[in-house]
Amino acid sequence: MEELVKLQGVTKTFKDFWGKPKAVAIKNLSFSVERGEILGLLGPNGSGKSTTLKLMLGLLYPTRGRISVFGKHPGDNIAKQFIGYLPEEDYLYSYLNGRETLDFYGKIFSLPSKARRERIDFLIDLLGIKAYQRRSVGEYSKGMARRIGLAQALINDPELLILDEPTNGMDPIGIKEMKDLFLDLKSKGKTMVISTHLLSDIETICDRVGILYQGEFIAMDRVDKLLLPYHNESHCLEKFFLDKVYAEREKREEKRKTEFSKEKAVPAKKPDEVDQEVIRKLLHKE
Amino acid sequence: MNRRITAVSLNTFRDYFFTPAAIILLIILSLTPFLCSNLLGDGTAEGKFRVFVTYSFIIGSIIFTAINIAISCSSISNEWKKKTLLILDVKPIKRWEIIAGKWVGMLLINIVFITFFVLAISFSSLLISRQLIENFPEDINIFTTETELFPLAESANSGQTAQDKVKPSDFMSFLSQSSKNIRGMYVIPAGGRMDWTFKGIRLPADLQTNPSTDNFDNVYLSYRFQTSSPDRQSALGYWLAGNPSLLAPFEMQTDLAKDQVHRLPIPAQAISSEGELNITYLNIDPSNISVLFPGSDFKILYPQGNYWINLLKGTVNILILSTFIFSVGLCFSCIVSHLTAILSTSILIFTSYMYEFIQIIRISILQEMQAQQEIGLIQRISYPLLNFLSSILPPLNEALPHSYIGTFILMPSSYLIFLFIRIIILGALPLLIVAVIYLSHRELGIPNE
Repeated sequence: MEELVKLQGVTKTFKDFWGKPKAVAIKNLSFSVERGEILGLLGPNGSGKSTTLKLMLGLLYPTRGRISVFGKHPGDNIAKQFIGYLPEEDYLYSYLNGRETLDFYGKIFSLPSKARRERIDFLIDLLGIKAYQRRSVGEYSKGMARRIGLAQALINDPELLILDEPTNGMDPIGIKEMKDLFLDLKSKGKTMVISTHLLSDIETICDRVGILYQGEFIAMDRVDKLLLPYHNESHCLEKFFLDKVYAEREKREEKRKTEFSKEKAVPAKKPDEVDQEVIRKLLHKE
Repeated sequence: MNRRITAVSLNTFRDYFFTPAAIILLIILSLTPFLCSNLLGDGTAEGKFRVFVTYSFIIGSIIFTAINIAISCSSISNEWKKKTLLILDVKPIKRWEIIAGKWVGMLLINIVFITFFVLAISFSSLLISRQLIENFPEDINIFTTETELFPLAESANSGQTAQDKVKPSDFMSFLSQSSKNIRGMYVIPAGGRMDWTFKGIRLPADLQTNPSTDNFDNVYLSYRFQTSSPDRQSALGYWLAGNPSLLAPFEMQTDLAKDQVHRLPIPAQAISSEGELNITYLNIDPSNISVLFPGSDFKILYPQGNYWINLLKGTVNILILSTFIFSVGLCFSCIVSHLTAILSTSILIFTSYMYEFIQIIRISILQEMQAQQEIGLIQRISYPLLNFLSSILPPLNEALPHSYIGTFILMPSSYLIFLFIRIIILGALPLLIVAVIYLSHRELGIPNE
């Protein structure tokens, strides 16, 4: 299979104004995404999911390691032609209406006007935003804005979709529709990288799942393989995730404690070295 | 311009133009010249004009500076703040295209504002000119392109003013003038004669079919001459004009000052139906001097076209010129650098001064040639070169000669150009700084603090 995205030993350190390392977001991450596959990135808050996606998009640059997207450097304009990105929040122009927003991004992709119009009509039907396509985006509810956000990500009919918490702020019906849409896209052979907290969503969609914890993968494999011990239980991905994260947290806590005690441990004094004067005083007091 | 830059520029235009603040500023800007045209000044025509120009432009420049600084500073930083840049940057658009789009959007807003301002200035200039013609008929002669009211004309102003008095009723015809030039240099020795033939003078149909004495002032011969004697300030000559196949319908003896622009009225019937006009000059000066006519100053001015259409054309021309110079200035200052903008402004000023300088040298050579009666090699080589240079450089002092209404419109417009280049530098500099910061800020996805 062709590897669309490839990360090799990627480390990302955020630095402060003076160039001092402030936080390590990603530590020595290596994985690849194959064509037609859906990869789910899971992890607690601050585990580096969004950072990984931004590194793949060229919005951030790795401190160490190599990233290639469509065999090119991330941020390459040719690679960008095949990518659709939905950020974690809806960063849209509030003064444009839904249709104009899609038209604007269509123009950025240099789509010819007829093709652009057809594509916009198709997406508006697909995502069910026909009723409010003429209202300005600033007036939208979060779910509506999320749909427009997804529509702008799909405007160029991308081969690789990078979705950062796509169901964030959506109602259950919206989530269900979104899941159906992802399955539909999967059947069309699209490649997707999805980062989310909602584990039940991802379980049915993803081929592979990677669990990030403090910038490192604590598990990365096919969903069916990972969930083999849980096969009779419901919400098994959630259980697996919690087990893994708790275990990792305990492990690290333990490690931290031992390191701390090693650092702080002072050799105890021998009995004869104990200050006799102090003992005498104490005894006298009693 | 590619589709991406167009999309970003229209988006920027949309973002800033359709806001209540922009509309209010536009209304204020459009009304300012009309309000300023009611100011009286110190009670003279010049005072009124100066007050009008100064107040309109001070208010205009404040508004323009504010608009440009606000837009240029916030157009990119707002995208950064609202994180819309995150989506835009993962699309196949280069970062320079985003900045170029922002700049073009800013230019579009400026063009709309400038259009309104120039229209308001032009129409209020027209109003004020009519007021001045009515109220100050004596002072009106100061409003030519050759007086010091006109920017950069001070160096060119060697004291010449229009010789023939122009009646207010003639303004209409002056604005719809066209001109025909001749080339070369014509020396007429004492007692000699010279013939010129102008072709292709197409007069309006009513003048052609019904030439009458009423239309006597519609066609002019405009000329300037030099004499071979430094002491003689004028020359006596005899003019003949008309179709050679007919009797000469016009003859006139003149004794006019040298090195000044004169205009001789010529009757419309002197021009044949094929548009041909013969002009003859006889040098009858008693003091035995030669007379020299430089071809560049020797022209026939004649009415052509409809007055209102010509006024519209003139206004549109000025508009295009000011927009062009504005955009060139903005382009230079924004894309290349601040220094280049200063340079381009300097070039504009330098070339017009250069023109005047060349004129001075040209005239001095001319005088020398007349005095010596024979032409040296260096002068022979340099004179056509100077002539060529003076034809390609912008002769700011000669634009629309003797047309008061035209001058009224042109004077504020040229003030406008000088003023806006300054504003553009002010306005585009913050954009440049923001753009440089943005470009150097490579990682757009850095989380907010």
